[in-house]
Amino acid sequence: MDILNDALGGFDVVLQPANLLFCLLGVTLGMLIGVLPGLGPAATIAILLPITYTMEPASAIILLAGIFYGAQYGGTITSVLLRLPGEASSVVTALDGYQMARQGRAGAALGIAAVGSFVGGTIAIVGLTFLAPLVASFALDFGPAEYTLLALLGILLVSSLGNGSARKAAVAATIGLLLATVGRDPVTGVSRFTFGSDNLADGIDFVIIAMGLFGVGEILYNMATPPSATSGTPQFRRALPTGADLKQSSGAIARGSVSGFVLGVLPGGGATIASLVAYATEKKLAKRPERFGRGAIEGVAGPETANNSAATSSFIPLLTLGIPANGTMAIMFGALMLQGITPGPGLINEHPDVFWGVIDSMYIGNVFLLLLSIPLIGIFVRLLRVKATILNPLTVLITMIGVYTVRNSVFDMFLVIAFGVVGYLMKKTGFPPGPLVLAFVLGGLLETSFRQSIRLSEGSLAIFVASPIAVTLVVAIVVAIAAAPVMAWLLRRQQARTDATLHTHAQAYQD
Amino acid sequence: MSSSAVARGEPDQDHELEFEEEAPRGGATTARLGALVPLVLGVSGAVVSAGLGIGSLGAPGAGLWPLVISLLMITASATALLKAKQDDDVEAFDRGILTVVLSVVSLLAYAALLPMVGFEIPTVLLLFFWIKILGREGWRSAVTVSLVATAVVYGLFVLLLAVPLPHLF
Repeated sequence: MDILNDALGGFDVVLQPANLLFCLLGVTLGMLIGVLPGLGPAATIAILLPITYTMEPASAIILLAGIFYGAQYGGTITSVLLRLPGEASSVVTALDGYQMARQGRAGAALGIAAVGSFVGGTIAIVGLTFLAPLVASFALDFGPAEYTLLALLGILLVSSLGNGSARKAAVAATIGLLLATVGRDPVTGVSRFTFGSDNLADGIDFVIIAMGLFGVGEILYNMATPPSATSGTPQFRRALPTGADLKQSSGAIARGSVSGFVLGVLPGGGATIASLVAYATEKKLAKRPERFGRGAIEGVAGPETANNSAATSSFIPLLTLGIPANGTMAIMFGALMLQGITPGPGLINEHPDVFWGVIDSMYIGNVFLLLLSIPLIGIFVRLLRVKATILNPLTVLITMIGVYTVRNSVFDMFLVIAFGVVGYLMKKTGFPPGPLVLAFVLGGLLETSFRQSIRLSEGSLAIFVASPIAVTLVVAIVVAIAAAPVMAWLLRRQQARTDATLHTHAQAYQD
Repeated sequence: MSSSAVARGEPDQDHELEFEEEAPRGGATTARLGALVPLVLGVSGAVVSAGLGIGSLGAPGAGLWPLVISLLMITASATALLKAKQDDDVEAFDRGILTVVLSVVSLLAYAALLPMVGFEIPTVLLLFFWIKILGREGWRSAVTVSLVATAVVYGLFVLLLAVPLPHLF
């Protein structure tokens, strides 16, 4: 078993003391920002990009991945205690989690979420361990035509399945593609859209766009609309579910692990859809569905397991095909590129330390999260008192200095401010930044492989249907375009229902 | 409303907290402006690309790919413009915009001052401005946080990491 050997080899990378420390640091930081209002994991990872420049590739990705899946759990804490979901994927958790907290069972709700997240995450990593090499070996036969279609499919899926309107996501994606063309033409070397500036001759750095749109943009937005004040945190000592709680939720955790894994592999909003589907499934299967919305523990266990499982499996398309499944994964893609590593089917053979190191770090990271969360939730909750008016200035300072250190360039600072303004305006007008960053990241690959393909075929578009894989991808693209409105409608309806339920319950308790 | 309960500081009313603070919705005009900007960008992108030389599919010029993207962008933003009336995800630009303008101006000033006078003085000023003026925090926390954070940055970036950050001292 070659794969098993390689997979175990990854633990040699993770178990190095420095990497263990980065893993612990990552998940702690992730939980922290998940709890704190304002910055999400995408923004945090973007802001930390300059720091990872100087690190070993495997350590850098272990740290950033830890932030990503750690934040999934941190968001649950505010969802349960304050009915303020930190992440879109924790919205349904607020339905029953908050009711449990009001009944004095906050500890049980958070505990079961921790256990569920651990089980879901671990099952997904096992799946990732075995599935990822298979997908990667399959993708080794891909030529430029297949890559063109795959990149196109990725951008399409993220635009159509993400949160918000598909029209606006499409606009955002085209902006990203256009920004990717700034700089020298990859074939002829002609300068494009540089407006005579030497600073733009090599194109726009991915770090600048990510830090501007996600980092500065989000900070500006928070400055104008401060996150709602947090007060009156319910009291509890420890997040520990009882044996009865565990028994009651075991089915929900098992189902959530599997459905989350499957949905997470699909590009676009995986974790969010996974949590919604898990909640709906549990409610449908329950003997007394009327318990849901009134503090049913399965309503917390199912979605929390599913969103963690999905967050983990969304690494599969990134690590094996080089196609990021969502905005945060696009930033991970950028982080790997900064290290001189191109994610794709070659990753597993060329950089096994990175590939297996990251996957194996998730086993350890999940154990860290479980160990951290059960005794330490009380401390994390206390962090909620840190004011946004202090946090925003400090974050913006870290961002500005971080940008400067990337190339010692003041021009980059101005550029990041400009993209911050763009990010703020996009957020206000409902244009999602995720598709823009994703399209920017894939833009170079898309153009290069497209031009390689038509050069191979001497100008004929027939190359895009010349192989069975290409035909399959074309069919998938057509289906994606056709199914997008249906999927968007389904997602919207489910979200509207969730919102309606949350608001009805809020009103019911105000009487 | 939740804010009044919070302001009165009644601990038992935490359940009145709104699920999510709803920002005021923006009108169709804001939505139209939001779609008009990428439309203009797409048109100018198409014009510039055409100038770069399009070539043919067999021998593409530097402008072909950006032209294709610009045309897609025009299509997408024109659709968004036409359907602007149905937009339900646009937020209104209320008084918060003033805070954003002040934040951006102070950041621009920060970036402009940094290479001239080093990072220390601009950093203290930026933090103080954001905490005291924009954040309306008290004098004591504003002064303390600004000075301590600047000292930490100095210690970390200049002394420890030896990053070539312009500095006075």
